[in-house]
Amino acid sequence: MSDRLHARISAGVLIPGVSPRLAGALIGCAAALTMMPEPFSYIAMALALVGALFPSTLATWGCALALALTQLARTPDAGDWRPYVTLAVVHLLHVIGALALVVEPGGSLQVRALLRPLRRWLVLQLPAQAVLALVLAFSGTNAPRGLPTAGVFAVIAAACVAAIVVLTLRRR
Amino acid sequence: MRWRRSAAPAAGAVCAIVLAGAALTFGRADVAVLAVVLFAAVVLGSRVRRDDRIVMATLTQVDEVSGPVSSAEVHAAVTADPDVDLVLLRITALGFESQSVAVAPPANVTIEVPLAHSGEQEIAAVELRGVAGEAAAISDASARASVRTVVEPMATGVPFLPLPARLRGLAGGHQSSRPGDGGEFRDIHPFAAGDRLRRIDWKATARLARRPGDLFVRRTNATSDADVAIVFDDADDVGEAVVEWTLGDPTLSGRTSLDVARDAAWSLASAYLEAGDAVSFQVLSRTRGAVPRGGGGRQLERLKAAIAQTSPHPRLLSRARTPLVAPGALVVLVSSFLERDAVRLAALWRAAGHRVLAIDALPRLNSGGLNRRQLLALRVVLGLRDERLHELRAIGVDVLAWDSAHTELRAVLRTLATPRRA
Repeated sequence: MSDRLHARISAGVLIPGVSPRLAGALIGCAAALTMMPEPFSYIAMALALVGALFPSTLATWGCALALALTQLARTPDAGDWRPYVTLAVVHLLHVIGALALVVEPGGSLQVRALLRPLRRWLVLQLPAQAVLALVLAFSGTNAPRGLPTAGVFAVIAAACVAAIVVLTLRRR
Repeated sequence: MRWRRSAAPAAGAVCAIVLAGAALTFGRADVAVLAVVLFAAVVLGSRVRRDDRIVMATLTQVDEVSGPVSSAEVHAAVTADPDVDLVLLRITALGFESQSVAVAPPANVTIEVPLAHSGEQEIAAVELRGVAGEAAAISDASARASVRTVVEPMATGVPFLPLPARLRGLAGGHQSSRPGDGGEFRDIHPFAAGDRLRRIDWKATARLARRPGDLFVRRTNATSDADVAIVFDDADDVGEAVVEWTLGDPTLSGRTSLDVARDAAWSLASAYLEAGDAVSFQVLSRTRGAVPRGGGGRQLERLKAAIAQTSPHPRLLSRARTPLVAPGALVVLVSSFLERDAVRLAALWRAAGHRVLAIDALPRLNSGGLNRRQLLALRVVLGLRDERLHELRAIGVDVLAWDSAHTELRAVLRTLATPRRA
């Protein structure tokens, strides 16, 4: 049998189209293993893997939700690294899951195409991490007494930051 | 271009609502931050709701394909509205091989397509879809943009040209049997009215004259040109790889019968035209693409274009038409002889007194990958084809397999070009 002739496509630096799926599976599994207690970690890992294999099942968001809900089992503490990582990972899984939905696994993905979603992720993450640090500082076990309800404060603050970010980006 | 929402924003929003509910239920501000961030990401991603976002690709071929080349380069310039994050390109090369690439607009994509076949072909086609936001909106596939090109066949040198039984005209590059000018020595002949005085051979006259006043002239043969009618059978196009005959995938087929046929037709046409002959070209399945008899440089260009633009036209129900050829012309019938039409026509031309040269355009076959049934079917097909070739030889048609070794081709052409008694 003859060898198939292949067309060569050049569009800058390309990575395999399966990369968003692999990244989703890797990040989801790693986060589940390091931050979730058993047997919930296995459930989150299974969801991450299912999401990578069949993105249309939206299991990646299931994994993100499981990771986020694990935060409920932890006592709020500004010195604990896990809430910050959870915030970053949950948001990243949303971005990667969306990419995995549209990029064909057998195709290629231009690296430049990742810049805009990652920039948006970074723009949201920087203020959000700062707000989370504040919220954890004020609502944690070492929080100063006599302050307004920490939960309400946090929601309002986070909503304000989100609104500012949204408005800033909309103006561009 | 129609845009539709994807499931990503909905999934993100559901997660955000669940987290917000949990945060309120358990009074956890840190979880509420997670919910707000997810919600903000969803809002950011799906903030644009316009349906008139434009995504487009412009295809240009870098170089015109001139002569036989190994590959062609096509540039696709992808542009889109600023809020389109990603453009999904589906690139189809040679009509079969499909690849998808996701790029960020504006982008320049270069597609290098290997060209394995001659003739007119679609080298690359692009369909694209736009993705806006965090995959919040996806457009429907755009109209297909494609680039077509004509790849010229490759000419093989033909050192020996088979000629028809009768030549015509008093100009050309071939030795005629008639006395005239331009050819080689013919004979010494008594002077006759109309002979030029400078043709008198005085030595021969001194030797041969019996009476005073006897003069002898030295005669030469005239040169004449041949009428050559190239008839192209475009009924099928099968490749070296027999296993691909049913699919006809040009990226897997290897050299096909039409590639061989085009090369043969072009090699012979250019060789005959170079020798000063008149060449016509006709296609069996249709009248379009025929080139009437002629010679010279412009005829060469016309023939090149006509041969390069031939494409397969299966004759499922219709019979092959019978092209008209000039009286006494050499008919060069280029076919794979997988169908009977060509044999019927060759018999017709032989009966009319034409010399017919059958060019067998079937490439050397590769039967790898066939199962037992397919092998048996191939044996039957090739057996029937051999029978047709035997039939052709039996009615006096010269058969020449074009896809053979160069030395073998040269030897057979030499034999065929040797003058024979009619």
